[in-house]
Amino acid sequence: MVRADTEHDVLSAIPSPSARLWLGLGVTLTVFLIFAGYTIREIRWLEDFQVNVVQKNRKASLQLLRLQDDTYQLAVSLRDMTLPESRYPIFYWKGEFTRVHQDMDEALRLEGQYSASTPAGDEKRRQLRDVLDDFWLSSDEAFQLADQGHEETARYMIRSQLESKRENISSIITRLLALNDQAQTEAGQQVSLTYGRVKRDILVLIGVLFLVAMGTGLYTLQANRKTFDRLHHLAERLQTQSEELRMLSWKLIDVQEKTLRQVARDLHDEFGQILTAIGVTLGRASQKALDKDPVFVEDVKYVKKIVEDTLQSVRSESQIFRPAILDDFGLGQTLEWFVDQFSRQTGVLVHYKGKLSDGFFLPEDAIHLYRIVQEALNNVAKHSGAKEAWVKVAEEAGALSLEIRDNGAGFVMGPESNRVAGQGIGLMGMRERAEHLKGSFSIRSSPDRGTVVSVTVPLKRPSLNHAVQEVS
Amino acid sequence: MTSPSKDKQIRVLLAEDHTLVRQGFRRILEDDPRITVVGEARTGIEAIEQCKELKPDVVVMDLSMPELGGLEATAEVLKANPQIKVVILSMYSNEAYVRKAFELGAKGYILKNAIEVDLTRAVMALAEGQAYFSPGISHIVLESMKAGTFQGTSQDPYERLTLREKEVLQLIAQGKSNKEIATLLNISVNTVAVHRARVMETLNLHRTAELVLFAVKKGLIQP
Repeated sequence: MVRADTEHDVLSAIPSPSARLWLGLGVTLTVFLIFAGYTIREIRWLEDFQVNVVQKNRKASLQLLRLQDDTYQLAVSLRDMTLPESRYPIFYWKGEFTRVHQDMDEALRLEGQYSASTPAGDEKRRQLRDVLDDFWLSSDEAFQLADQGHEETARYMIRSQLESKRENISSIITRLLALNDQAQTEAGQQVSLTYGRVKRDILVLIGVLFLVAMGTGLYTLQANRKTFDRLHHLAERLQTQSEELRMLSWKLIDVQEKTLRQVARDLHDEFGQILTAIGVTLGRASQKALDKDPVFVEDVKYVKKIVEDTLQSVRSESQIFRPAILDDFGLGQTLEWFVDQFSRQTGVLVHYKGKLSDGFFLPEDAIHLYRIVQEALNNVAKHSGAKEAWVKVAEEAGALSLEIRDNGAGFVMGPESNRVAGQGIGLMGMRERAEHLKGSFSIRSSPDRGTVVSVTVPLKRPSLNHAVQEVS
Repeated sequence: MTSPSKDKQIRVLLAEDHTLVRQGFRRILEDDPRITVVGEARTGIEAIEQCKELKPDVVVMDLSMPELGGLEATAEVLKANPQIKVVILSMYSNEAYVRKAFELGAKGYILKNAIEVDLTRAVMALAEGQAYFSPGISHIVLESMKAGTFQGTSQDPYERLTLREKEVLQLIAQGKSNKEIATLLNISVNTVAVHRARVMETLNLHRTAELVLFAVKKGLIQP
């Protein structure tokens, strides 16, 4: 049977989403860390690249420009030195040449420090150094000639050799500048390429994180939905089971009530009547023999006494099972009668207060209220040790309220399972009966403060509109 | 002991559902030459019909009978034939039963356990126009009189109804048909008709709409 599985099975069938959620979190963090490390490395590389390559390249270019500037100064000097109308002797320029020579050496040294090593660049630099050395040698030679008084020869040498050598130097520097510019452009391209890659990586990272987060979120949602579905299902099943239990418990009460009623009726109608008939016949027989046979009359009287006692037992038994007064006179009078009987039998003084209109409860419903009072008072007599009890019945606000109170020992209110088994079942029965009448049931008790059982049941009082419609 | 007429027999109707008990009562009654049992009824309805037909002097009416109980039957019998005397037979000495019996017009109330002496005496007393209680009842009647709760007839006509009749009134006011009421209360439609007639008679109302209004005034249904 499907029903056989227990709540425990249903609970364990719900998979815990925790493991997968942890996994999702782990994957997300790992991906994040890997990407973050990678990106940091990329950016650091970019930083280095910019500092080492671009900055140095720029500095090298500056030195090259310095060199170029020097060659232009040389060009002006060389031109002035060779002018025919020049009024100054050649040695006049010697100081300037020495200064430019030093400056260019310094610039060349610095350029060599900053420049990145490329085959084309290195080749050009070697050429530059060679032609510069050559230039300075030639210029020294020219100054020597001038010093020795060969002014014109020196001028000729300057015109014929030095100027072309200077032009060569200048063109090599221009070439180097062009190379540097190219390197600069390439470096810029590489930087923007790297930036692009880092940007893409970050986008990919964000995308992956988004996907993982979304996946985890969706999984959580789905797991939640599943869990709630199962919880809902479980709750429904629990409710069904508790409803079935309640139905069963109610069925038990119902069957008990029907059985008691039948037994009471059988006892009263069958055995009671037969015993009555026997008693009547015996009575008649003894009446007839009254003056004739005293021994017979005695015997008959004795037997009749037995019959009457039996009848009395049958009758009171039948009343306990189902008081006929309930069917004949309703709840109010039944309660009055019962409370009176109870006081006399148990010695617990019960005060009854209340008046009930008849006709609101059919006997089939009234019996449950009667049973509640019966059960509550029986508990008072059995468990509380109380000497007095109060039964209060009132009709107010469309409801019947019933209260059974005692001044006895009371008990500690707690889970019903903690109580004596029989008492728990009694309470359950009272509650079940009250709820069957669409009413509420409550019990309050504490040690040495007595116990109060309260029941409120709505009076069946249909509205006139409803009634008139059906009458017409 | 004097009888109203030496030559006139007291005609008795015996209403008791259990055959053995009824036969026992019949023997006891017929032991007295002044009494003739003219008819037997097994239900309240039969008792009412027999009374209409036979017009007995005294009806010995069992309190609890199937279909229509002794109390309702008593009221119905007396409505049609006020001259008939009714003595209630009961197993119960509850004050409620005794009081109701007298409210509804019964003149005697006897308990079944002392029947062989009480039955004949009660029938004779009633035939002579007196009331009769079993000795076991007298103290209840006296106590009730002392407490002031015992009244021959209640002022409130609603209180003169039996519980069954109140239930029927409630159901009529709810708009239930006789058939529905019969099903609900597990009695025959004829019995419901008797209850309905009794309710109208007692409350002096003649139409269903008046019953509904009465129920509203009584708070049995909400306006």
